[in-house]
Amino acid sequence: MSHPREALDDLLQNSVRLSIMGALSAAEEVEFAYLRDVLSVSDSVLSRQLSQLEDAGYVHIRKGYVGKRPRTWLAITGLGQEVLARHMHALQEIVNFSARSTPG
Amino acid sequence: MVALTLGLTIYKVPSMKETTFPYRSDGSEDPDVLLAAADAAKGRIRSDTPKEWKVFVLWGIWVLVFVPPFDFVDGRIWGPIVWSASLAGGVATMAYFVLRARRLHWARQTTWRNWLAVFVVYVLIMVMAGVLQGHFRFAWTAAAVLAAIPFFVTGLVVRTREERDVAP
Repeated sequence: MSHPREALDDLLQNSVRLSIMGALSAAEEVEFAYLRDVLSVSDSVLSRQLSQLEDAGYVHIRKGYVGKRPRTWLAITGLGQEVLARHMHALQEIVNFSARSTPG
Repeated sequence: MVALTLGLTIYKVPSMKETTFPYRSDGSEDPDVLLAAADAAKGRIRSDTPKEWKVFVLWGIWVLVFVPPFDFVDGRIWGPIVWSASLAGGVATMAYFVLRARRLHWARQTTWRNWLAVFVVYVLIMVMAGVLQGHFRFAWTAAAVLAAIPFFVTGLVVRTREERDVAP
């Protein structure tokens, strides 16, 4: 029987990236500045983490407009949803395992 | 000496946004912290997603409040009040959805077919009430109760659907 940590995704071991994925999983598309505010990170931090998630195929980035203002829309991909679900499940199992094995 | 002191005290001040994120980002977070971070972000998005069911229920209440007075008050007086209230309600409803959609496209977009269907039923019932008002003492009150039912039922259905979507 394998340890749940083997189901963890290396890219999602970072809390900012995991938070991005968690946020995107709750909506169809989220606007860049709004997500930045939700996560309380800087533009550069968010851009950097999003690039890594996009390269892995977990996130789709779309440039659009609201009126004449350019906006960047972010969405989680099908692959991203699968990886996130597996990762969250593994994390939960690890937490449960720790709780069971803690004496007292 | 002064220069040395200054040299020791001058350091790079990180921007506020760089420092406000409550979790470490060195890749070594505790599983509890990681789960909490993801759940917090997800929860914030869900709390900002419009609650469509509440809007349906509010319109049901609106119908119950504004339509029955036609049985007791002259339509020439009450009519403009109802038109103003419905216009204000319509603008508020549109603003509620449109303003939120500027930053967030929720997973299940507002189902305008539901709104259209409920509105058509409402108009038909109001037309019937107008025709029957000379024959029945409380035609408008009965029409209000009948017209409010689709709003409440749709609200209940939408709420059930929204809660099902939120469930892990």
